[in-house]
Amino acid sequence: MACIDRRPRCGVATTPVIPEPLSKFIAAIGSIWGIITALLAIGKALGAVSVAGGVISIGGVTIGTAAAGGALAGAAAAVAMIVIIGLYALDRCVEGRGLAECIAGVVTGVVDSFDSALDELLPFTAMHDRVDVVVKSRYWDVVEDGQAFVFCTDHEPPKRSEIMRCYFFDRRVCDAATGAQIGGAVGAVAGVIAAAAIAAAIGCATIILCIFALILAALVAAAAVLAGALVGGQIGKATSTNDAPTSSGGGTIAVGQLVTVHGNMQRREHDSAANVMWWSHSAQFHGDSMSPQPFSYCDIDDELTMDGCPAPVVELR
Amino acid sequence: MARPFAALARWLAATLRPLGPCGQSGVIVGMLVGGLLVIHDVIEDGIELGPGDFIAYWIALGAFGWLVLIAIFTLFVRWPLGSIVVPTFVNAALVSGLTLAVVAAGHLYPVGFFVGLLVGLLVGALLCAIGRWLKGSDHGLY
Repeated sequence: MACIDRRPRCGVATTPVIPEPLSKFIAAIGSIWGIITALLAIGKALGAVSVAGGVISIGGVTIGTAAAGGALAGAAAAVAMIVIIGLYALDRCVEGRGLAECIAGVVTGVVDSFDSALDELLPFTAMHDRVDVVVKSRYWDVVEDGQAFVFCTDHEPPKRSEIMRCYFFDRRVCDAATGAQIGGAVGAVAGVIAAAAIAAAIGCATIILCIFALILAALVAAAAVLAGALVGGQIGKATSTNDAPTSSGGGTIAVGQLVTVHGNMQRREHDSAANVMWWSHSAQFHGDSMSPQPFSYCDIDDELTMDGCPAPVVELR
Repeated sequence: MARPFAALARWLAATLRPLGPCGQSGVIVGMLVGGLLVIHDVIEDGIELGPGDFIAYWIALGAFGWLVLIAIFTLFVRWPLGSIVVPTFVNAALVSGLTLAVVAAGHLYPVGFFVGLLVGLLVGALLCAIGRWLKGSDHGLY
């Protein structure tokens, strides 16, 4: 066992970590609600939107004010929700630019896609299969690159080790996201109609009743989109293939295996702004580790002296 | 269709990062509350809130904002309900009340969305700063 003097740089990234979904919600709500409310205000100022005798006229089309309000609030909520689902699908199913990297170590954990009840309820939020690797100390610079957040084991130093999360593409995740988008769109149509009907039923006899109707309309429309996304996402997932993370030899990756992973490294907000493989392109299997668990780099450095990553070329002078 | 929004989301994430999660929560509540005020004002052809109506209106909007934040943080961010129920209540109550007060006092209903965005940004950032001062940490909602 050969532990090194340098301590792993575990924990907090130097910049604040923002939960991944918040920026999606702000982008969707900000753009959709901003556009709709701006158009309404401008339309009213220009006379394209007018109200008289409990009836609103928008571009020549007349409708009861309560129903119109419900439809507008419902449409704003529904379209924003569809955009959010689309952003999730884009995030999960587009690899994006990163750094080609290679790490080696021992597999300390495997997390399947759709591993929680919330992933089943909101299929578009599911993540791809994840393999956690306790990396050799030689690859700590890769894990720490760019002052990223670093996941570590629970050992006391000097055995505390750095972990790299490696995601393996799973077709189920993207098929579920596609299904959720289609289902969400269908839900949106039904949701806006229901929103208008509910608001019309409650009516705008008083100011308080009217705002209550608008709030309920927005909530109903958003819920309808999510319900449609649930159904569509589950259909997409059920008709897809469950890809398990595998090595180049075809074997399924499991805890305790010594591996080399090549992939596209990115810093991702979903992982507390840590560097992760998104996605892993290939994995080499070097046998099972004989080291005691929980695994530490001190043992793995000795056990996996020759891995599959390119060795640095040392210039002799 | 989602790609322009993805670019907007990345820009917003980078720009609003210093606000922290509570600041961004305030922005979300402010935009929703302000947006509803615009829609209500348009369909009613002008709203005049009396003192008696203000409290009830504030409660309705505050409850809506609180519900939305709870849904976002439990279903999407996946933080425990117990850890966010009070901070989200404080955030939603302050942002909705202040947005309503500014919009009603200044008769700013047509631009209610932008008033809400600004109020949410300022109140959220203030709550984050107070939270950091109290706890000495950037983790959690405060």
